Amino acid sequence: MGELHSGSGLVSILMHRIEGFLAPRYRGKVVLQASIFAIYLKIRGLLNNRVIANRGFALDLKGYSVTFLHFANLLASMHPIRATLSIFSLLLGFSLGIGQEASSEYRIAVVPKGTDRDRWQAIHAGALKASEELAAEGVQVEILWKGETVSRSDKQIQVVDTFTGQRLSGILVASIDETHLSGNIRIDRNSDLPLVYIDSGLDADRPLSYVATDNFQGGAIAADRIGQLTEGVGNVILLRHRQGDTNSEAREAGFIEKIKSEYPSIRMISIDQYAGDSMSQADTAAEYLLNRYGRRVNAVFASSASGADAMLNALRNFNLAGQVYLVGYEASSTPYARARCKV
Amino acid sequence: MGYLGVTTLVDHIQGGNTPTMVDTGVTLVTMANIESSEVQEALGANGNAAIQ
Repeated sequence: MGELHSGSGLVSILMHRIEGFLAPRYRGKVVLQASIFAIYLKIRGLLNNRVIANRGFALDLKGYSVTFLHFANLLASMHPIRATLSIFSLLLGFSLGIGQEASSEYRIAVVPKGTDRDRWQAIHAGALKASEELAAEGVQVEILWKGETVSRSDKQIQVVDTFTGQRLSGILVASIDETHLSGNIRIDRNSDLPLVYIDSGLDADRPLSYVATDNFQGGAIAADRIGQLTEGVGNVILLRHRQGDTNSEAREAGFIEKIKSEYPSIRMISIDQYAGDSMSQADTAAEYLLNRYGRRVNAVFASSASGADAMLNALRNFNLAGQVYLVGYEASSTPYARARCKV
Repeated sequence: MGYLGVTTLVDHIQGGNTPTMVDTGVTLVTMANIESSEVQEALGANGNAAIQ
């Protein structure tokens, strides 16, 4: 069923692309050709589909007929040369797609925000682990991992677009800029390709599912940890991540609310500095904070890996390591170092 | 997140019910538990957010 669905998805996408060229003049022969071609595709597609035995067979057949009727009408209204070209491109797409079917039952694309950080490596490892476990249960899942080294939403949209033309069973996207991506994401509109957002992307039209961490609660856990370490008394700094990043903003909100409601004797002496995306920006923010508050601060919560790393370095440079508690959010390889030197 | 994303998708494709929201959970990592298998899994394979 997965294959059939993504097959009709492919046709829908092509049709949407073809619609721009319409010149409603030619009919007849083209309709006949398209119908024969449709029947050929259907037979070939069904023969190659190993899942149909236990899935909604009739339903899929119906979906196919409707799709091809629509397609035939479309072709009839086109210039013969354009119609022929469309048929050839479709034929090519299908033979490629059908060829790939034998290697894997499902193909799932995973698009991270970037490829540089440990976090995305961990997500990749998680996806592969799921694929291995499913293989042990007899379900073959091929993971197609592709991100850009630069975390920019326009780059990410390009990556997503390259996947929309492929034969997939589903796609996981960790959207960099929720509104931007949802405004441009074509898989969401023009196909029935199942889409699941991971990490972030709540504003999008209709993802199937949203798999993420409860960041607000994570921030509250960090606040509890600081409350426990300082025994509920002291001055604390919140080093934020980046403006507009919904995940870290939720962590920060959870942290602030928890401190305010549960730890009246903990004072938040700075909550307006941002670590940002680059390491140099994070270092600058951390040094600024320690220059200004270094003598008074008892604990720091950094809501991102870059902020936590920068703050750790700064604490060492200011000879404050071992005196100031540092709680950082996010899994990276450095928390090991941090934990071991008992900051 | 990668793990849960893939299993959620496969569940859906196979016709299962898919929850709109899947929470990965948050793990507090400290000196005391950093060596534990649960934390190692969260840091390494599952990609959960970890707090130290």
